[in-house]
Amino acid sequence: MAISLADTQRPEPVKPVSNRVRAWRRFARNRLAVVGLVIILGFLVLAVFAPLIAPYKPDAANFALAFHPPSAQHLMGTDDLGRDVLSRMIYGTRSSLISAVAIVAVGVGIGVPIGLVSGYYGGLLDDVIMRLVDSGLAFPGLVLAMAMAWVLGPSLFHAIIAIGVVTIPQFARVTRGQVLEVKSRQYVEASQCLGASPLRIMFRHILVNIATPIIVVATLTIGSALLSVASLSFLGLGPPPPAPNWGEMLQAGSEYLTNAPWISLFPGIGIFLAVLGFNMFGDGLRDVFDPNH
Amino acid sequence: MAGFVLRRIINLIPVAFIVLLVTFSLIHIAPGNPAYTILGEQASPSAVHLLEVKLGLNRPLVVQFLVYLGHAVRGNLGRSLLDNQSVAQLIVTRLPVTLELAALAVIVSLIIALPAGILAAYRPNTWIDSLSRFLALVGAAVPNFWLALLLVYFLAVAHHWLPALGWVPLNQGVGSNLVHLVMPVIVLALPLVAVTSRVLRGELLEVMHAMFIQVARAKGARERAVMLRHALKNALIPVVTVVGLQVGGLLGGVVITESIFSLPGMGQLVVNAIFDRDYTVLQGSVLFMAMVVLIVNLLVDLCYAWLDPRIRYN
Repeated sequence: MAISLADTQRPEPVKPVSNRVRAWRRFARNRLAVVGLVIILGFLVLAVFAPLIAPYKPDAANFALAFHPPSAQHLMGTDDLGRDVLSRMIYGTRSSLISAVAIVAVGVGIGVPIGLVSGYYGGLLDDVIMRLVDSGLAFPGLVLAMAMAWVLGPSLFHAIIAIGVVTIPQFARVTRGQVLEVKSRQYVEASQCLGASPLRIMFRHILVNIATPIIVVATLTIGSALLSVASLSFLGLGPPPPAPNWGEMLQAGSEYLTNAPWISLFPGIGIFLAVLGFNMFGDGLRDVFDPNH
Repeated sequence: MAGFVLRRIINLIPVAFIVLLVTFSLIHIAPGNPAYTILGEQASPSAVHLLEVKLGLNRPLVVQFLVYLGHAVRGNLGRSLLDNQSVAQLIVTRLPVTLELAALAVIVSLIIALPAGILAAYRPNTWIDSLSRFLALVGAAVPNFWLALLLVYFLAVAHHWLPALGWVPLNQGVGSNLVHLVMPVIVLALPLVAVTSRVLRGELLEVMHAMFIQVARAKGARERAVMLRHALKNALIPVVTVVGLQVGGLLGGVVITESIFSLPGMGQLVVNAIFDRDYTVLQGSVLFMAMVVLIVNLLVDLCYAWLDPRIRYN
C-alpha cells in the first residue's frame, strides 16, 4: 500500500461552505421562494412540452362541442368555437413566458448599460440621463405601452417592444443607484490605477458586483410584464388570434361570462399563478441576497 | 423651504419638456406615413391628405413640434378626430369620475393597509404577518381585469347584490353613486393594499430599532403605545412616497376598470380612443396622465420635505 504517513495523520479538514452553497441553503429555507420556483418550473415544463401534454390541438375548432362545461373529456371545458380551453391554456404558456422574458430582456439590455454609464461618469451626462429617466417614469406604464402598441399595430412583437421600453427607466435607475454605491470601492480604484478601460471596469468589475439587486428587480418585473401583456391582449392590442394567449382568451370569454364562465376563469388563474410564482421567487431572492431588506 | 420648492419646480421643467417630446414622437415610432398609421392601411389618399393638413403632418418635424409645444403649454391638446371636440374639454368633463374613483381607491386601500401593516409589524413572523404577506402577494398578482370579471359574475350576475356596470352622477344620489363604485374600487384598491401594507410593515420594523424607541420603552410606555404613538409617525413618511409612486399604476388600472365597468372617466376615454382610432384624444390623454403623475410626485416630495426637515437641506 502506498499511503504515506503524512496523509493518514492529517486531521480531516473541515469542508469550507462556499458562499454559493450558503445562499442556496438560505433560499431553500425560504418556503415562499421555493414554492415560487416550483410554480415557475411547472409553467416552463408546460411551455416546452406543450404538444406532448395538451390533450387536443389548441386551434381545433368544432362548433358541435362549443360551450361544453368542464368534464372528463375537457377538464376546463370548451370555448365559443368548441376549442379545448385546457389545451389553449397550455399552449398559451409559451407566448406568455416568452413575451415576459423578452420584455425584461429589453428593459435590462437597454436600461442597465444606461444606468452603468450614468452612475459611473456622473456629472452633466448623469443629469441629462436622470431627467430622461424621470420623464420615462412619469408615464403610467400601461397607458404608454397601450399607446405605443396601438401606433405600432397589434402583434406579439410590438407588445413586447412597447412594454419593454416602458421598463427601461426603472432598470436604469436601479443600476445607477447601485453603481454610485460601489464606484468608490477599492477594487474599482485598483483597476482604474491598473489602466483598465472604463468599459472594462463598468462591465467586468462593477456589473458583476451589482448583479444581484438587478436580478431581483428583473424577476419581479417578469411578474408585472406578464400582467401588462395580458392587459394589452385583453384590450385587443396583443398578438392577433387564433394564436392562444391568456389575455385574449380571457377577453374572448368575458362575453360569455353569464353562461360559460369557465372560458375566462381558467386563463385568469393561469396568469395569476404565473405572476404569483415570479413574485414569490423574486421576493425570496431578495431575502437571500439582502437579508436586511 | 421656499428654496426647496423652487428647486423642485425648476427641476420639473426639463422633465415636462421630455414628456412632451415623447407624446409628440408617439405617432412617429411606427415606420411610414403617420397619417396612414392613424387611419389604417386602406385609407384613401384624399382622407390621408385631409388628415395631414388638419394635423399639420405635412410641415417639417421641428415646426410640428414647436406648434405642438406652444399649444400644449397653453392647454390646447388638439381636437378629436372623431367629432372635432376639444380634447382638453373632453378630458375635463371626464375627470371628476376618474378623480372620485381614484380617491376612493386610495382611501379604501389605506383603511385596509394601515391596520394590516401595523398588525404585521406588531407581531412579526407570526401567522398574522404570514397572512398579510400572503395577501399582499396575492393582491399584487391578481390580474385586475380578471378580478373585475369575477366580481361582476359573483356579485352582479349570480347574486344581483350590486349593479354590474354603469355610472350614476353624484348629484343624482350619493348612495347609488357609491353602489356603482364598490366593485371598481375593490379592483383598484387591492394592489395598493398589497404594496402599502408591506412597505409600512418594513418601515415600522426598521424604526423600532431607533434610539427614541428604546427611550420610550425605557420610560415604561406599553409596547402598543410605543408603536402607535412613536414609531408610526416616522414610518408613515415613506408610506406617503410609496402611495404617491402608485399613482401611475393606479391610472393604468383606471383604464382597465373604467372600460370593464363602463364608467365615463378618463380611462374609458383612452380605451374608446384606441378603438375609434382617435389619435389626438389618445395622445392628449397620455400627456395629461403623465403630467398628473409629475404633479402628484412633486406634491409628495414637498409633503415629504415638510414632514421631515432633514430632506430639505440635502
